[in-house]
Amino acid sequence: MRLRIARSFSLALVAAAVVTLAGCAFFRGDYNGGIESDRIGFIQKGVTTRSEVAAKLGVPDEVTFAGGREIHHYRHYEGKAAMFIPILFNIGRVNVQSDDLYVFYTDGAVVEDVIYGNRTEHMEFRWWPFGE
Amino acid sequence: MEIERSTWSFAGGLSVNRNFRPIILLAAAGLPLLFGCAIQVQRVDSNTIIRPAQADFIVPGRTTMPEVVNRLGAPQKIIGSDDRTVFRYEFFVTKDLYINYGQLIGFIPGLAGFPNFSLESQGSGANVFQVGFDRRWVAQDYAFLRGAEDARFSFWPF
Repeated sequence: MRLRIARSFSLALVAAAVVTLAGCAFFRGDYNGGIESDRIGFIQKGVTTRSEVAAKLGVPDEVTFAGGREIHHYRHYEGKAAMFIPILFNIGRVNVQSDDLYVFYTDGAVVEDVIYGNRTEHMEFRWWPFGE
Repeated sequence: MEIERSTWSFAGGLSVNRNFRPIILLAAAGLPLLFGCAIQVQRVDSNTIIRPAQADFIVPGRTTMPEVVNRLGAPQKIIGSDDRTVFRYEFFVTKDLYINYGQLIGFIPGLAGFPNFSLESQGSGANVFQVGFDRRWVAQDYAFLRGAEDARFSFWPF
């Protein structure tokens, strides 16, 4: 009986030590400013011109010519990392997602189409590195 | 349709690398938080993977660009020529497992200061989905590269 109590006490002590010595770390980083949907609401197909877009959003990260159109690409990346760090080992994950805005222009430099994708808005801190 | 990895070559490698640069920057900034322990399990991934089943709705010659964007979101990359435009959805993953057996042994009472002996193994891969459109923005073809499945945590680097 006394041995069982001593063993339970030792286990509890070890568990307490592991818990108190364990640590966590979080990191968040941004590349380029965010492209929030309310910042691009002014863009109207067939109306807004290339210079108006440039005046509000600035120079695009990339200019592509495809399908007979000039396409301006604005990018924003966000990275989130979370780590679980007990005394002996650490487990962590860094997740990077992008927001992408493409503005398609006609020959007359007027917006023909817009593609916008926001992946960072609901991105979570994830520390478990296994599985998906 | 699934393309062999070799057929992709690195014809578009420059553009992939340019897209990859901010990912490397952000990952490199976050990873040092992990260093120092005897056992380290680390993973870096970027963007969201697109599975072949998610692209089943695309019918070459019929599905339009807005339909693709509505279902899959904005691509990470658009490349093309006068007659053809390609949307690329890119997912990268790196898995790294590091074990310092010497440091582990050093935790045993009386063996503190045991020399370092570490084994580390890293696997990286990319899954890319691309869909090509004609001038009328109708999908003509699509293809997958599935390299991310080969990225695994491994104990044995030899």
